[in-house]
Amino acid sequence: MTSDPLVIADRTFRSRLIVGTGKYPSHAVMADAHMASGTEMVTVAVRRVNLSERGRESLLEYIDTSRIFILPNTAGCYTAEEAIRTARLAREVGLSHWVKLEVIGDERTLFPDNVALLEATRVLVREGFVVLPYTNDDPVVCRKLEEAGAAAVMPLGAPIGSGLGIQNANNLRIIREQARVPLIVDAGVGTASDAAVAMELGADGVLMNTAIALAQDPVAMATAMKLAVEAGRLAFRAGRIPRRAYASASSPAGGVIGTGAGARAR
Amino acid sequence: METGGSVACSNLSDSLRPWGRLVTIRVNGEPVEIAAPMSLAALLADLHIDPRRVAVEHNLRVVKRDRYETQQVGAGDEIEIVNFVGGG
Repeated sequence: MTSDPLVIADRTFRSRLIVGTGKYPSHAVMADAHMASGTEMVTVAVRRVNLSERGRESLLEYIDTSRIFILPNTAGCYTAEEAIRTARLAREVGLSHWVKLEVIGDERTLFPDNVALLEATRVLVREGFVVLPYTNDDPVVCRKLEEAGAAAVMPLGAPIGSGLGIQNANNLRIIREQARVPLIVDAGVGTASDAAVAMELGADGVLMNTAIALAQDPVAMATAMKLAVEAGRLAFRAGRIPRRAYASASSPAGGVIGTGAGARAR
Repeated sequence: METGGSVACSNLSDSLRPWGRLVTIRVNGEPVEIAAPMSLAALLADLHIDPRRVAVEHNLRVVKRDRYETQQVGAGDEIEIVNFVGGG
């Protein structure tokens, strides 16, 4: 797939699969899953250092940062202010001025607060961040995020961690049509076919965490996701046939044995 | 907030210098007593935190790494020290 790279802002990725770093059985399994997925970008969360449990092994020891780009998120932030502070702190760690911007509006669904998300996007773009907002699958919000300077739009396929797959394919199609920045389907993938569907709809990439991390065999699922994203992308570029209600024979209608001239089509 | 000498001494960790004025700051939401004045670099060292792996916010403002030596922490200050953890 080297001839078909994913370009976001000023960076080029050979892999269209972005993977998370949470919920794995161990850091070692995570590292193996990242390798199997072929990913070149992984998300991380920003959290307080645990003052009573210092000296635990660092997540970063298990990420090959020479090969994998770090995308810090603002997960857990419920206001624009919290998200902006978190993004600034993430940048100061010194690995990335990119941010997967999340401003959550509801605890049970983890749906975004679109008003606060837009506000935070504007502030962070002004401060020089490359902002990748996690958003609803809403074409209007995606358009506004793009106008606010987002480097990509990342609509959800379904609620975070739900594994429900793409819930509103038509919205994603509309977002695909209008977006001039990369479209990354972020969240909701449960299994490989979901990732393939997202790519077949024209997504430029897919971001997932739980579907790999909590699979019974995360490394095998990471491989499946790599293949699904590649297959979906190839299918999208190949151009699928139109859907039709009735059959269209693949074999020649004529020359079937035991029939007269002008035989019925099979 | 300044604390009384006897209370402070009972909480004083070995790594904290016995001189200086004992004051309370908040680190990641928890009260911590330090011997002021203290630089951010010294605070991180006292907390056994490797400064290369973290980012620090001091009274809501992010502190650049090259300011850790010179930036002083004082009574009532709010410090946030964060690092990267697993997430999606």
